[in-house]
Amino acid sequence: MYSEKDSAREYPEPDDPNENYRSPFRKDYGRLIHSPAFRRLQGKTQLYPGLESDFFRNRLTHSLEVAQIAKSIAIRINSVYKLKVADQINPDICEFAGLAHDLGHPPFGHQGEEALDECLRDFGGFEGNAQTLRILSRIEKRAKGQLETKDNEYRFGLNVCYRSLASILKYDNVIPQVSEDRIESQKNHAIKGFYYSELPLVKTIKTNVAGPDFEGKFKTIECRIMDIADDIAYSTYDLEDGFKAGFYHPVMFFCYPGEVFENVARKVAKAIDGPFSAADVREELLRIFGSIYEFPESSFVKAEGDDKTYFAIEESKAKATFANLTNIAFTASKNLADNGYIRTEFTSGLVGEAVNGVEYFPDPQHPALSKVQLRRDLLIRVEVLKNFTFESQILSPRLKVSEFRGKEIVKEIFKALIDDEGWRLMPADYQRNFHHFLDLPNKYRCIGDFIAGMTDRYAIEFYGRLKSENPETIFKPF
Amino acid sequence: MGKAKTNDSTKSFSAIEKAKDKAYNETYHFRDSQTGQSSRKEGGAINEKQDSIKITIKK
Repeated sequence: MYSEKDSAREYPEPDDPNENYRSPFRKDYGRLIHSPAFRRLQGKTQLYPGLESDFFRNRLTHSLEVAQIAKSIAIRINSVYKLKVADQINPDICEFAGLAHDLGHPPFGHQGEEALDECLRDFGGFEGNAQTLRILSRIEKRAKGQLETKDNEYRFGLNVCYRSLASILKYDNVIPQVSEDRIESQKNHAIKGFYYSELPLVKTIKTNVAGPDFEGKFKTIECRIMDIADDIAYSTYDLEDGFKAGFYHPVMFFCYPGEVFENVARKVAKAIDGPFSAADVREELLRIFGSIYEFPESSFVKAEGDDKTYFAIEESKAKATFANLTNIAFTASKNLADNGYIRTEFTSGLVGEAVNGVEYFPDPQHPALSKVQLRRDLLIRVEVLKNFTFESQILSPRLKVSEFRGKEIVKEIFKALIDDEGWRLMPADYQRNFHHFLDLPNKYRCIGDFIAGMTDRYAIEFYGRLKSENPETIFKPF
Repeated sequence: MGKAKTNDSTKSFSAIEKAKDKAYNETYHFRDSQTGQSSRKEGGAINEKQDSIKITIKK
């Protein structure tokens, strides 16, 4: 499953005999945990703005959960498929991938991503996954070469192993450098992939991990495990956050407008690569939550006729019975959302069910590119929950206002920094890189790197210093 | 290489059953409006058929 080339690094490091007690991948884990980019995840939005409550997940706690689930999936596969030691998946790399996968998220989540992509569309674009690779391999300040030659790329970021870098390469696709090279459907959205500036590095990663002759779409087993773990975490924990926040409880799901069901159906169809309708969304929600609507037979009168058995309600007691049944379902639904023990048991059940439903398909020719997938019924469940939580909330005015604001803040900061002398507003290390690189795309990329690294709070503060009339903020150091 | 065990995604979640038990047990007015009895017996067991009256639908 692993060769020496997997543990090679872009910037060669001398072998340290004092470090032989741990694997190179475990070293990578340590480098990541201690990096500023990892710590900054605590200040970045997951779904609900972090400033509103300390219960909600942020990108850091989400990444910890993804890492835990990814590691569990790897350990489980090694165990239940009884893999020989040489064929076993390294849980440390899966954990690394889980912790690192969201490093590239700019402030304000996807709206920040769209705003930066709009700003950089003719300078290589912007996308969270591409930025993650850039942070690990360039921006973090652990390893660097000689700075003397102007315009050379002298940075090596955390200089982690090629196999660790491969674990976060979710999309084997280079983002077009200019907007006119984008196909029509990609013109107005961030494109998933990696930047043109990292193309040589990605080629080296592929050669080291899959061999020089490999052709086709590149995605390692650890990356696939992280991807599934991310979906499991999204589908379960964003749902839990919404329960806890009181935004909804299960019976309310069946009351959302048709638009939400249609939007979810479209996304699920794409994910499962097959037809999926709004009615299918409702059916899956009923499979998950339907037992809320199961009532004891004693609630009804048994009736017979037409050779069939019926449950009937006496006409004189119809209103009271319906009210009673509705109240039971409503209260049970509220209990599931409000009661900490019950809610935790439910989310834990969802995660456990999904982890146990991951199937493994080894690739004997390219073991590093072996596949995993969720069993189809569970893939549907995960996709319905993930997208329903998102679609049902994203239309709420509360989040819309927050989104709008985030996008505006990112664009205004970018506008100020590309203005004449705008680079002077950046910290000294970013200014140095801005002048080190000679062409405009690289200079704009430096600005993009600076903004993308901001937490939500830092971005608001920085924007305030540029735009607000409060003089206090002017004297605060960058 | 072994084969993984499968689990059943059609089974209901135990947490939902607990949420329902809590609804029945802790909210006093959840009584069967047709029989006047509690919808569930004490201890959470569901009243079975003996609480139902069987009628025949006339055509």
